[in-house]
Amino acid sequence: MTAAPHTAAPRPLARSAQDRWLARRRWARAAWLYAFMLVMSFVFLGPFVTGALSSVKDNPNEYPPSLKIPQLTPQYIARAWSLGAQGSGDGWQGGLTPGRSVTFDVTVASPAGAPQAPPTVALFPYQPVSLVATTRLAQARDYAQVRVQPTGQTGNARRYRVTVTSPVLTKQTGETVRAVLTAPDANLRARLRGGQVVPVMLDTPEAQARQYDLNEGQPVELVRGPAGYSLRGPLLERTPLQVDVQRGQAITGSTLPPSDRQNFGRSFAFRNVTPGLLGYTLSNYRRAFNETRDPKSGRSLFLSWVTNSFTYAFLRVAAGILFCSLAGYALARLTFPGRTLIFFSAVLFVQMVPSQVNLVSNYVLLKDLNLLNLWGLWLSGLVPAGGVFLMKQFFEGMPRELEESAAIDGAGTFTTFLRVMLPQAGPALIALAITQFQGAWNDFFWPLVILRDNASFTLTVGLSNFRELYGGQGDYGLILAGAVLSAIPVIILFVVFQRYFVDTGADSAVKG
Amino acid sequence: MKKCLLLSFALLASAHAQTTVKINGYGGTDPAVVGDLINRFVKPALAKDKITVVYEPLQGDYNKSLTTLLAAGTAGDVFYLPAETLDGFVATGKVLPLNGLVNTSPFIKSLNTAFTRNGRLYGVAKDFNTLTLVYNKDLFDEAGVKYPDSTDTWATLQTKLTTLKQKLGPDYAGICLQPNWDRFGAFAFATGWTQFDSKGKTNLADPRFADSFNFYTGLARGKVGIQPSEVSEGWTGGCLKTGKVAVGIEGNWVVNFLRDNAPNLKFGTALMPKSTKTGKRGNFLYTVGWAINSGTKNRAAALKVLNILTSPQVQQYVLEQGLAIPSRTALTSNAYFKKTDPGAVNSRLVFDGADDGNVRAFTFGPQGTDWSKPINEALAAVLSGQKSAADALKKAQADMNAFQSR
Repeated sequence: MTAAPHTAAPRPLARSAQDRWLARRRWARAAWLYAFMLVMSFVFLGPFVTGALSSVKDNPNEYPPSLKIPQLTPQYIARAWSLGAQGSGDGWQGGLTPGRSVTFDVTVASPAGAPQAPPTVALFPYQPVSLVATTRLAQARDYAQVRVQPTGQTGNARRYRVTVTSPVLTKQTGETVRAVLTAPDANLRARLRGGQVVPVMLDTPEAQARQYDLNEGQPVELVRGPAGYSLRGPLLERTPLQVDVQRGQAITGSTLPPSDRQNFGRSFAFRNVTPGLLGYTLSNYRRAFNETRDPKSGRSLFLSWVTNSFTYAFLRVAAGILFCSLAGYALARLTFPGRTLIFFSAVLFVQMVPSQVNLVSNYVLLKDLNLLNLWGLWLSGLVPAGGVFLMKQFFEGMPRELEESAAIDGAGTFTTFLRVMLPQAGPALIALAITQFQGAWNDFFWPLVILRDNASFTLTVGLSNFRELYGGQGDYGLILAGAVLSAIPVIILFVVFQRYFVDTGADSAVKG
Repeated sequence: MKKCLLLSFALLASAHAQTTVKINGYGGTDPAVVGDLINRFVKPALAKDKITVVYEPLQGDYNKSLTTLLAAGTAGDVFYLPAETLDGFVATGKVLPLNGLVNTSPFIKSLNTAFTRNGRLYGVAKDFNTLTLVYNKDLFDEAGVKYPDSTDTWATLQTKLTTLKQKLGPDYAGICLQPNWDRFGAFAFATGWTQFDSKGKTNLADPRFADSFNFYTGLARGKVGIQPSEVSEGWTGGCLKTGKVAVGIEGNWVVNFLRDNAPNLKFGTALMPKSTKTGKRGNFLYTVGWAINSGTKNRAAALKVLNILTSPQVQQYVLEQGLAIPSRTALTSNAYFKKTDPGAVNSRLVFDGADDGNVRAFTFGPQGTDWSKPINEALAAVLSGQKSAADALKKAQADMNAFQSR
């Protein structure tokens, strides 16, 4: 088909017709190829992109899935930022801090004959069931005041401004500091940024009324006055607002689109009217880190899982490179009694036995060694037989002349391996490293069996935990956010190293 | 040097005197909850006995993990025992009968029954759930239909749902029906039908079973009742969340789900409807118990731990924190149940449901979860209009016979 120049035609006219036909064929071929690649990338990338898009939605289960996602619309992102900045002075994290107020606009259409009353607005408690923490955080409903005023009218659409104000609970003045409440004794106590634990005074009746409502782990703002620290108020992570109108009326606009609609579109819930940018677009991602705090240590479990996964993957790659290259070289080049037996039993046969068969014996062994942790996991996969096989085949393909010339120069076996053969094995080592990293990163079965403690999980086991809420129905937003985060390192790895990965070393093997 | 040696001996001796009781339970939120209970109640009570308690969650499929651990002899001294898989665990002989070791009289009777086989009690209920009717108040208000209530029978409920559907039109539905034994079974029990006869066989040709089957699947007529998949959801909770379905049959777990996923949905709760013929309600008990490993070396310590974990103080704490519904009858008068918020009302009705009518433990019998397959298939076939109820039941009975004679 690529032989177009050779097919000489007898007459010029016929020739140009045939050329055109061939050119068309070439184009058609290219079109088919590109179409095929587009379809394949759609098939492979589609689920990831859909998951990534759904992970920012309020309702990731939305059906039919819509691509008009307010969380990705510049207009609403800007508003989320400014609402967050109004509520807390921080456009990224948002929230509502004491002494600040937030305004939120709602438009209500009240046609003639329908009730003309303003909408009912209220704050409601909203703290999604968290994976591990049982701490109840302070709710905006219990602290902040909300009021609604009309601001104008166009036709039968009336505009209203909802103002949410969080009061200051102290009369003291002084420097404002942030702290987290710790286990109380007779009084409330808080841990400052530096780790110092201080008693907290409640100097107004409003503050005293809250003494027993505030739980350990609650972030608060304190005022450092001459007499000590006094409670300025809790830091509210969310400001959930609900707007209800009467039958006949309709809500036609609001600063942010509602997260939930009920009652025939007459009840709008905004899960957070002070989201800030992170709390709006990346809300589920923030939740993945914030709502998985270990109640004992206060550390983010998700972060521990990521660290554990990286540690495990790194250890596996290091061990794989070290042991596989050594064993592969030995099996390929050294002659010693029992070599074939070792190759067949320890490399080939081991690969033929499914790992599930050894499950119980390996588990009991690791348990007796007190290694039901990351190190035990590492030990159980220390020398991957497949990697040894790969390296053996690779070294066998290398020309012997290299070693012979090294021997003439006086190099011993180990020097030959380290100085001559290993530097040539780059492509195979990279392929090995990538497969080991990916294998360790995605490993689920063994970690699930071996790891017991919440904080020692790898990411895969941790993610399966997100599913266990609500009788297996799961919090899909969290699951998707976690899954997208866990896919990123592998994607980066492949994008960066794919050049070497495709280059399996076939060409460099004949270089010598 | 000598001092050092003596000191280390003393340390060793004290380490030996220390007994460790290991508890196996669910993953997810349970490690935090049970950890909290251990710190608050168990540790202070057992400090002088030198008993330490550790909680070891089993991730993933709990029943499978527990089976493995029991077989390997490494399971905890105390562990969660789900009532639905009780038979399988009892058959292994690894669960200690608690008769004479634990006083069961303060616990709800049907819960004790759920953990009893051949007169032997194998677990003490940790907490439980039953089914209730959870309804969307807005839809009933809009249609001008009275809310479901505790006097409803199957017939009156059907009338209410049909009227609601007629008033609201094609976008809305009366009730969400899962094509599953785990919801439908409650209706079958209401007729007085029993899951297994004296020979351990299941009779689906029983007219009482057919009666409940016809009612349940008949709700789908005219799209009054729909399956969750018809509103692109996976379960009844999802149906309710959409705000398009008026009633769902769910337990207390749906309260948290709705609070998180449909915060402005106004819902109410009613008891399950009574069978029109028998005048009785039917219900499932979903319960998990505390059980003791028969191979434990620390039986006395394990019993102490079990008794503390099922004590009135612990149960009251669990109830008031809204974590679960406790198994002690005395807590019926707890102040929490008198609250009027929708979540507390649901808790009370779930609690009441355990003692009202034909209440049976949620279980699949000794052959495991596959027992429910013929019934689920029949329900799915009829609810989606592929088969008539009579045909589906005939096939289900044949499948059931084949399954049970395996």
